[in-house]
Amino acid sequence: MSKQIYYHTQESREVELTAPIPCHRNDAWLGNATYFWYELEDAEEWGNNSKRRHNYYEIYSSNIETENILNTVFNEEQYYFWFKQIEKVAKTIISKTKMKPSIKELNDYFKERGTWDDLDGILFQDLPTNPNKLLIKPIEYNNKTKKVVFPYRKRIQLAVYNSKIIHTFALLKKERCI
Amino acid sequence: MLDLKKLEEKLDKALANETSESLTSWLQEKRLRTFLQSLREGTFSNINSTCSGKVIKSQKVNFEILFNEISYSQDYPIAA
Repeated sequence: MSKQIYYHTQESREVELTAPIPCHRNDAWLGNATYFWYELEDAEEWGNNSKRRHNYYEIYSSNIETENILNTVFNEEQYYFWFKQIEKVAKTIISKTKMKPSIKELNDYFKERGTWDDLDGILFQDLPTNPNKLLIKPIEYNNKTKKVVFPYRKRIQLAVYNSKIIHTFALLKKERCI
Repeated sequence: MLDLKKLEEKLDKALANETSESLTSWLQEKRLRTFLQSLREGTFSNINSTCSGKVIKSQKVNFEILFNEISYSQDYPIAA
């Protein structure tokens, strides 16, 4: 059984958490799930940007079983599989309803209508939002009047649907928000 | 190990059984639930009562526009 360490960020509370908190926000990309960061740097960035309510954030580390996680970041076959299914469902929804689905609705479709019960989670990525942390100079266009950041690093998250694959959960650190 | 073939078969079977009515109904119910949930997440603030006795005309909400605005925002509000 393969496992890996991931990081869960929360605002600091009076009592230390004993389990990660599932996210039910409407704008959560992959729907109702427990979200983890792949890299500590992104967990810290998330704490500083989005977990500021009590001026401190906490990062917990977890050992998570990865066997039934769809790895759309590093596994080429699984990425193209995910991509194909997203486009297939989106095209069907658009043709039958004349409405474009959101990424959350597509993932809800996989789970609710496609009955993807075997899927424990999805590893996915976007790009870092803080250009100050990137070490490459922005690309300059139009006689240096326009600068575009080159986000060479992936920002990776794991959405866990089956909490049974979370084997450990422990406080790693508590930091003041900057 | 994930069986991608099995996942795809399940999904294809579900899609084959969909009609315009079933998919539209599923999507609209989901969007309505999300919208109602977002109302519950709001905060309360005190305002002075200015009751005039007039009936306010109900307003039709265009959910497609509303959700397109949310879905295609330039901001990337992922959550964790």
